[in-house]
Parts: sequence; C-alpha cells; structure tokens
Amino acid sequence: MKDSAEDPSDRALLARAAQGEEDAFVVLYERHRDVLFRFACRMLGSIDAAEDVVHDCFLSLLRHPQAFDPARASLRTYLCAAARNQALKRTLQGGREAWSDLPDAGGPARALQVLIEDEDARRIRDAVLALPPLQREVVVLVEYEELSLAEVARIVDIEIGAVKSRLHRARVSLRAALMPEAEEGSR
Amino acid sequence: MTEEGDDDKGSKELHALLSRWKVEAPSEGLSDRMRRSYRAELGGASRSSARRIVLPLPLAALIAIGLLLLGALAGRGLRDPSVPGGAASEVTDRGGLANLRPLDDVHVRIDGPGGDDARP
Repeated sequence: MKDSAEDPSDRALLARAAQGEEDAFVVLYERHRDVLFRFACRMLGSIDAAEDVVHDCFLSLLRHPQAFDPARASLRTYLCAAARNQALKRTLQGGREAWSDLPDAGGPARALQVLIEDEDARRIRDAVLALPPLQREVVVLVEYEELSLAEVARIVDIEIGAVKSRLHRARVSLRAALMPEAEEGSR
Repeated sequence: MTEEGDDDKGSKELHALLSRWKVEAPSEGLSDRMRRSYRAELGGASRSSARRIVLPLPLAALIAIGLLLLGALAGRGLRDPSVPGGAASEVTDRGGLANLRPLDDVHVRIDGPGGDDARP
C-alpha cells in the first residue's frame, strides 16, 4: 500500500472540501476510497455493507473535519480507524450478507483453471471471515493492505505487542484451515 | 534451516496463498452517492460564505449592545402609560373583556336614491 504523502496534501484538500470545493473532495475521496473499501469488504464479507462503511466514513469526515488531527495520525490511518469501528459495530449487530463478487462456479462453460482459482478464493475468503473480528482486522491490515505493525497498532488502538500476538494467532488458525499439511509438518 | 527461518517461510507461503482472494474496486454508484451526499452537506458552503458579512469585533460588539438597548427601551415603552404607544396596551390590560357590554339598540340607515329607509 502506498503512503498518502501526495500533493496536494490531505490536510489542504480537506480544508478546501470543507469550504465547498467539490473537486478537492473528489480527489481526497478517490485517494482513500479503495483501501477503505477493501478493508471493509474483507472485514464484513459484503460489498454493499462495505460501500456503506466507506460512504459513512467520508460523510463523518465532512461533518466533523476537526476530529481529524494531522499531528496524531495520517488521514489514511484516521479513516481506517473510522472504518474499523464501523465494521466492528456492524459485525456485532449481525451476520454478513451474501458475497457477490465471486462468480458461481456452476455457471456457463468456464476454463478449469478459472474454476480452481475461484474455489481457492472462496476457501481463503471463508477462512479469513471465520477468524474472530479482532484477529481478522489485523490480518487484513497486515497481509492485504501491507501496513506496518505500528500503523496497525494506531488504527486498532492497541500496543504493537498485542498486534503481533493477534497476528500470530490468526496465522496459526489460517494455516490450520488452508495449509493443513504444512501445519502438521511444523508440529 | 532454523525455526525462525521456517516461520518466515511459512508466513510468506501463507501471504502468497491469501493474496489469491482479490477484492474489486467499489462501484461507480458509490462515487455518485458520495457526490450527492457531499452536495447535500456542503454544496451551499461556498455560496453562504460568499454572502457572509465580516465586521471588526469592536464594531460588532457596539451593534449588539445597541440592539439590546433598543430592545429594552421598546419593552419599557409598552408598559409605561406615559409613553405614547404604551396607552393602548394600558387600556387593554385594565379593561380586558370584562368591560364589554351589549349595545342597547342598533339602527341601520341606508341612504339611496329611493330616499330614507330607516328601520329599527
């Protein structure tokens, strides 16, 4: 994942957006939209719910721009923390909705390789979604978004040691689910 | 190979495996929805800030004090019968509906080309 030290700065864009400059807001939104969406998608297992999370995060930023303090964290960290809070709230409220981005394996004639890849993706998705939310968020941020342990610690608001511990437990569970032979061999 | 090396290799294998689960970009519908929400929230921000009147603080304070004094004077005038304009409220306060009496007789007189047409 790229860092967001781009020009113009997030801070300048946010100030202009708060003054009613829609173009500035669009640049800011497009800069951070994808990471929030991917994170929320992998946390919630639902495209619709992930889009709601992204929408609500940016809306909250527009309504309370003063809540973002550039001295404390980057805007990406701030938005990821907001998305994380919303995703956890939704996770606690109810189960995930149907996933719709993977095509049905029983559809029209498809190459065998594509079917195998889809099946792999499903297995991996199910294994990640089966993790407890506090382990899942760490896995998603480290393994998929490739954030540093320090940034993950700021987002989930825990010590780096606790991030490492959750990540280790999550990896053990994922290896057991996805690479049982390798897990057996390591014992 | 050391245990740490095995662990590192295992992590890389797991990372490679996990990367097979890909997530597409969000829909264009989300961008449209976001723009609509932005306009609803802040679309009028630039227009309203252009209409804003900026005053120096001392002048603004003087105007505020003046408005308060005017309001206080107007309030006193309504209660003081010696102040013209306060008299009407004095009559209303004293009399109220209790002083209303039915009229004894009503005579309607219509003047027209046909002469007087007075009726009791």
